[in-house]
Amino acid sequence: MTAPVVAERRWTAKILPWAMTAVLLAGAWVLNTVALPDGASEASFATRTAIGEPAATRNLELTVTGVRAARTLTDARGWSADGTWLVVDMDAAALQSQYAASLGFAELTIGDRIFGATERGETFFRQRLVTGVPRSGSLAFELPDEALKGTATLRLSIPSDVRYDGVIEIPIALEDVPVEESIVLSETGWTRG
Amino acid sequence: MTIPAPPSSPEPASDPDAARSPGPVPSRDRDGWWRTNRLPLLALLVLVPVVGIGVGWNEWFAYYGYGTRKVNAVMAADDGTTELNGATWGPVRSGEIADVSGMDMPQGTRLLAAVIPVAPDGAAVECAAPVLVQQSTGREWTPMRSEIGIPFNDDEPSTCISDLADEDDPDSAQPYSLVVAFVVPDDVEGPFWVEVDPVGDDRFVRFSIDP
Repeated sequence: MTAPVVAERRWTAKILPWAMTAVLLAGAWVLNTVALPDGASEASFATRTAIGEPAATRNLELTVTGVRAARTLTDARGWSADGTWLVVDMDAAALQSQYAASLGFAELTIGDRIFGATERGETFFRQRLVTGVPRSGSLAFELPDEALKGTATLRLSIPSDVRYDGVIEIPIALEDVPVEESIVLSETGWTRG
Repeated sequence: MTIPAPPSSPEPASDPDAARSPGPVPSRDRDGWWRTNRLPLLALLVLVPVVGIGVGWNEWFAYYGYGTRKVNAVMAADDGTTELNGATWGPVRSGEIADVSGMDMPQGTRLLAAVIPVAPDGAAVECAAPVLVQQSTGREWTPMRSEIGIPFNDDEPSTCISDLADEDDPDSAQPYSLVVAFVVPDDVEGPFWVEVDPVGDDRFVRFSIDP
């Protein structure tokens, strides 16, 4: 009578380690699949919007009013440079506090490449924002000649380090952006109209 | 003489499977676990909040500590002045600037101005520019000047200055006034606080205004 029980137990002893291995492997695969990528704990809080649509994040309220491209860029003071320029016009205000409130983060992502807003000329980059009172200005991105293709993502925020903080994201279809011969940057100032 | 039976005898090992699994723990034993671990449990009860408070305090102090940020407001006395960090501050004068012609003012806003006399006791004091705070919401404004087309003026400092009566005597700082203006949306109602943060500790001067 005992022989079948022993046989059954031997069979269980053989199958159990394999079954557990399979379960553990499957569990590891599931964990690996659902786990967030490295740095997710300090990732920015993205608010997606479109050109012409206002968006707000922690201390920043912003509307991109237009996107242009040009071969020659000139600012209000007469500085000028040739190249491939993408110009983004916007209205922006602080929401809660003016303390350290300036447009300190502006990145344009095209494919795998990330471009920062130019610090050349007089632009809206790092200009002061006022609580509840919008100011207008332009950001400019200096790009490689062949870069005006596909879809770019513009990311804007107040602190230069946007970890743990809100970021406004605007997709831009680069093929739809009209390329002009020359653009004069709009002077940073109060929003009119 | 016989050997007495032990207080509890093990079950006869007739069924090996049954002997291996302990079965449900009697409730008496579970109570025993809590009783056995009473001391560690009590220690947890104390240590968990202590660790929470300790870590929280450490984080708070790393940001707000060392007197680098304004934490404790010192309200002006009845005569409108405050004695803090080696100077007498106030009384504040404030109001809305009605005539903004010639200035580059945005639409839908008003210009609120504040004048804060500063009388150093001896040596000059340092401070950051005053801040305007809406009392009901905590929204903050910092002074505007070039943005509204008012050029820099030596007689209207927005941060603390050192104006010595005797160049060779650092304890001869003369009194002066901070003069600041804030661009505030029309729909933002007072009352406001005007806050000045002298460099030195975590205290700051606070005046209540309702222009």
